[in-house]
Amino acid sequence: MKRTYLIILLIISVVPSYPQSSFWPENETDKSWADYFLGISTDSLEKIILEDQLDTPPSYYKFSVLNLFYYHLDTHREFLIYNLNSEFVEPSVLHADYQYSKILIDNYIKGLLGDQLALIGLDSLAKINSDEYRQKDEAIFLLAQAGRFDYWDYVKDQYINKQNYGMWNTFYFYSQDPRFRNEVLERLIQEAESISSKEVLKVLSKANIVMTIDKSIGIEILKNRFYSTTGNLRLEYFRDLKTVDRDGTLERSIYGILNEPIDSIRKEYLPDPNRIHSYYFSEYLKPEFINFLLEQANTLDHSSVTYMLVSRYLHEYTPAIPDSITTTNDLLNNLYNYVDSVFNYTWLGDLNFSNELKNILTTAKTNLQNGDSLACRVQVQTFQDLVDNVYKDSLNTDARFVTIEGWKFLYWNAQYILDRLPKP
Amino acid sequence: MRIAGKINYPIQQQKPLKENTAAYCFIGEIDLPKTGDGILVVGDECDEEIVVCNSFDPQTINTNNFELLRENVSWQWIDKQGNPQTTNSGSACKLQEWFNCDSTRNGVTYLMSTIGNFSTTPQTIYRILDDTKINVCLDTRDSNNKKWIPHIENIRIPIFSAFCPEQADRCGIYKDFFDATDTAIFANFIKNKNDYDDVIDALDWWWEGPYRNAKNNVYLKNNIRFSEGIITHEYQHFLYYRDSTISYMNSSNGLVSLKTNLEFQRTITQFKCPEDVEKDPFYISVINSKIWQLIHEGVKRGRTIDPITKKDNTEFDCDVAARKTYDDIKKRINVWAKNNGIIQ
Repeated sequence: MKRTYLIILLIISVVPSYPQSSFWPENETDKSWADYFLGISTDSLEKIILEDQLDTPPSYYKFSVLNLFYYHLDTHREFLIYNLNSEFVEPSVLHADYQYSKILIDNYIKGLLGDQLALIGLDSLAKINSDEYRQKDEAIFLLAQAGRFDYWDYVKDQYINKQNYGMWNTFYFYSQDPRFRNEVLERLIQEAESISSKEVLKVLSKANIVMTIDKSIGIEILKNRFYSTTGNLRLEYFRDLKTVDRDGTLERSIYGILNEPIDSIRKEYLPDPNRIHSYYFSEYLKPEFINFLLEQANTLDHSSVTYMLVSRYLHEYTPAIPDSITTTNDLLNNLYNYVDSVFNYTWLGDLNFSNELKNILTTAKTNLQNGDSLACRVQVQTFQDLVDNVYKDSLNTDARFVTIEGWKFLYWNAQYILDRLPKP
Repeated sequence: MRIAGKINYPIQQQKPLKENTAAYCFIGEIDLPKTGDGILVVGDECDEEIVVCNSFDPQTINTNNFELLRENVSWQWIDKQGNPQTTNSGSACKLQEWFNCDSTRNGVTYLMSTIGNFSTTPQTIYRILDDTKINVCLDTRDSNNKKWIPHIENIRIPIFSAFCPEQADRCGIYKDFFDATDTAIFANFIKNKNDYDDVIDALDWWWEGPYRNAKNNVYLKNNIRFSEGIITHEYQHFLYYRDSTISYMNSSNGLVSLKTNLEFQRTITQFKCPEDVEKDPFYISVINSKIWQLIHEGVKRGRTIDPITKKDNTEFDCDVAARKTYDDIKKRINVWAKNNGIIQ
């Protein structure tokens, strides 16, 4: 092996090429090891590397190389490229461990300098016929960082069967190879499932790692925890899920409010009434949720904090302000649909009245499509006035009526459209 | 030839140890009786008492071996000559400081293998393990091959963990609410409901954490921070580094190798007296090199490198750990805002 390695080394050394990009990122802690030899002359550092004495303290070689790399690269790039060539030895050799450490640092630095020879050097370590050397594991990790995934059986055996957790990062990196992705993923899911729900940080951490491979599976892990726990634990999972699965937040809020018996925890599933207008979950301002809160208000104990917050929220909310990228035409369509929703929730009475409102909006849309935004404005203003008048005229005997909820959704959404349209 | 000697690296000669307090040893007889195989350990030829090992349990470390450092704090130790020394962590946030403003770094946690090099005034440099002591006891189990077994005393692992505002401040003026206990800061920055909303928006951003927000391409607005949360985040890194190092150094690949691996043992024919082993510069550096490697590997295991971004995924864990701090901060702000009529 030693001879083969040297021959390859000599052949490639004839035409060295050093691309700029590194095969792996710098290890942050190495800088601090380089600092260990701060103030030592470069002559001394060179000597340690060149003289290669077996009685040199083992770490000195590494510290010297790192010091030259971090503090003297401008003057010692060539020195490092041409002199980091520690010779491979078989594991049976007495000083094998020391020699492997040197080969490791040689090729780590070469890889940072973008030298292809680094991969060959690390392969020699990865193929050491013994699993007693940590340098072998580190070489396999560096190779994985360079996109070389040639040691799967070893990696899997070490991590899974031999519980060598030093191989964790390597095992995780092998998920980048499609051949091993599913096996890594399955193992991570299994690990996540084995963690008690009480260890929230550990569950979130593992789910987050799963998400880096398959986001939906990571979210499923958290959702399972949410639905299988109670009390404060469930709340923890609810709050974290808000940051990764916003679309499911409303559903989980409703679930939490319906299933949480403890008032002080249940209230946490409600949106904060102090933050209605800046709240970034517009789902909480949709008719579905408002209707849910109205139903809850009828069943909740009136002395509970949850009830007080629900009442306050219902009193203070206004519909979500549309974002700037939604077109006026889409806003008109949404308002049209709101008429149906509001009617279905019986926040608006009389089908004829509902149709009358929708007809006005149809005309407004036609005006807008014809480029007549002034005429469109007139129609939307008519719509808003009609809603407002019927709401205010609640004492009449007419079948037409609009509740406060109906009024909020129709009046305010009409206003958001008016804000977009030019005034005459 | 030992190059270490040539480069004037500060390996000091150890003073002969006057006592051996290794927990696993007992103070043996100075003149041991002849054993069955006729080998006599002659104690009175040595400056130091020979201690016969009576336990071969692996050496372990615990949380007491770790010390958390912030900027500009002093660090004391006794050097190899027995002299008290002091240095200062200085502006240690500067390690791998970020210079551009593409993204901001608010804190940092790292193994501090040298202390003093960030001080603005000239300081003596402390290098990790400078104040360890190697004590050896004599393993007499094989009377034909009696050997010295090391026990390392005073392993101190300094980890720097701090809030580092300099680069972030250079890239934008931050309003810092610290731990939200100073109501004067509230009064200064929160004049109305809009100001309150800005602060709570920022707080919600920090609660979700920079890791998740970066993934969702959500950026912090208003340059508001709560440095107590950042300190908690960094402290979690410290805990991860500490626990992974303890776990690794106490594992079958860890400190136990000092007692089982021939590389770290010396025979009584090589070194007659304990002080000869304990003060041998090469032996000291061999032992230290091993401990350096163990600490380095242990700290490294406190990280999880994302295969795609190549960044540390434990950043997320540390964000999660800081959430409790942000919850407490929110409570304080809300109490103040209610008392001052900004919210109901």
